[in-house]
Amino acid sequence: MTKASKQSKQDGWWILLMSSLLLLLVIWISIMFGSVNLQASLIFSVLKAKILGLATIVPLAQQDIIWELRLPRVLLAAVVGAGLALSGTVMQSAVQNPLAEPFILGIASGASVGAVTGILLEDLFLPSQGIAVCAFIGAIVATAIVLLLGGLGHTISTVKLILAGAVVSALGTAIANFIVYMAADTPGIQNAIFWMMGSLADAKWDNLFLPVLAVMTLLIYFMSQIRNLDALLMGDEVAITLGINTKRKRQLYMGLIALLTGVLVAQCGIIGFVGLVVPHAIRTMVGASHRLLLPVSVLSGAIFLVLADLLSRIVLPSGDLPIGILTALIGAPLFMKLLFGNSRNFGG
Amino acid sequence: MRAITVEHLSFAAEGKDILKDISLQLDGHQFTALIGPNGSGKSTLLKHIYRLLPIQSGQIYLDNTPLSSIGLNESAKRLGVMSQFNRIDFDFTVWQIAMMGRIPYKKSFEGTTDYDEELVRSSLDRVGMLKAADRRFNSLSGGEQQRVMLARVLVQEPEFLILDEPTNHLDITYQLKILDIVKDLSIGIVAALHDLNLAAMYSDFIYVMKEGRIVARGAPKEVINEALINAIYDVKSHVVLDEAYPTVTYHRPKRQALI
Repeated sequence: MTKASKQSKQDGWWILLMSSLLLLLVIWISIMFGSVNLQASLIFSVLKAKILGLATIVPLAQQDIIWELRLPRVLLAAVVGAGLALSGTVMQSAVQNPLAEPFILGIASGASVGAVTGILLEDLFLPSQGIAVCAFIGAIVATAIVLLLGGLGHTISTVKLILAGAVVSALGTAIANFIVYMAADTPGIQNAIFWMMGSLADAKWDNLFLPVLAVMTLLIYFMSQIRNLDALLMGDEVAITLGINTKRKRQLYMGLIALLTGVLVAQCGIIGFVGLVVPHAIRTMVGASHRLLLPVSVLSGAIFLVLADLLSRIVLPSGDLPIGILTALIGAPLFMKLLFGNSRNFGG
Repeated sequence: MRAITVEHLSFAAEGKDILKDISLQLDGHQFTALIGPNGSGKSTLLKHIYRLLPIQSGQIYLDNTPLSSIGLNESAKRLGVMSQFNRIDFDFTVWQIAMMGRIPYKKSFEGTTDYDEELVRSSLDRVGMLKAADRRFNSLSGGEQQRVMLARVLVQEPEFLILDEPTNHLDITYQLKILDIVKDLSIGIVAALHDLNLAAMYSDFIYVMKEGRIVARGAPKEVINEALINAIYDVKSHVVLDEAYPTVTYHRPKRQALI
């Protein structure tokens, strides 16, 4: 059936091309709309002027909206969406479970403990990126705890893993809330509350660099691992007999994803369920093989979060709706369906 | 490969001795069968050979090299394994599953070659699953899935094949067909089998296990007899010694008197 496999290769390139074009389109649309709607021609001339260093007749206020506010924000949404989808896809393979996702496994709540602690200590000794660093450390610690509780290294059972995630999540949220409650007078602590709901509003050109670097690097790395990711989905027994050191690979993959989650969460707070919704949807379209699943998920994650961000900017007339609320409203019902809709998913 | 040698292999889990000082040699050109009741340690022994379980004491050699000094990837090119298979939550096509057999041979970013594709095609054809190449693996019956898993192992081009209950979900047609296919490969094979008649029909040599020990070994004609079946399984039987191989028929257990 050589014909069949050749056919699917061609389809793959088409799907990648179409998703890339779709991503460019939603980015463009997302720049156009918001509290002020802008014309496409206006955006075009500003982009041309900024990139080529030309002068433009567009008023400065609109230049700023496009170049200093919307474009970095939309790009941050794209890169965070891509990164979260990458995290979800890889984690699901590493623990052989379609429910794995940074938010569900409590990693994001660990990050929020770190972040509020960082806000609390900010005046004392922390440098400007201190909050991000604290969030990052929180993410790593939470990942380690969940994986230890869930039995990394031995066989990982779905039940144990999800429960470990729930425990860490509940504990993290409680600690974070406690800190916020006790430190209500501390300047900036109200930011923490907003941060815990997820927000892209702080996007600047300066803080795009690290997420972009992390997502690009890990995307390239994991594209080199697609055969291993496929084999891991078949279970340890098959993967080992195909020559893969499953324990070592799993630890490496989870460690890298914890790093990535830390970088993303530090930048824009808790945006849950993207890593669950996107790979799930894409898997039903292109199948489980990572050769196509991984790049298409990453592109679709970007599309998904750019659209979600656009929606969060225009749905309330008064201002931004925290984007984490929006993704949770979409993601939680799907999580429920995955958990209860099909009993074999919970078979451990 | 000339032989796989197991020397003084013992294994305990949760305070229970599962394998007790096993020594045996699997010839690289013969079909060796492992028989014995449930829990006798057949699967555990095989899991040591295909490196799922760490060796606690004893040693296993591929030819004369200790298994522990061979890379996982290297042994994956030499040993093919078809074991009892749990269903998966992720949906691959039959073609994709079979193609996974090439994983040990591939570097990162390396594409599939015409040779790979031809190998997948011919292997699927051999197990009668070529027509289903584009179907989703999860939509297949248990027996069909097992045949696809065999195709994957064939694609791996092993020098030695390890089969753990390979005929589990299969009807008699495919039980015979699968054993025929692997026998025709003329490579070394070790198979844990429940069915004594299949073991007698296909194997050149049989090891009999009970409670973690090898209790008998020899050619099918020497090993499969009424006394041994009674001793190992506690079942009365009648063994007919055909010219080619022995055939077993079982007797129903005597009913206990009703009290």
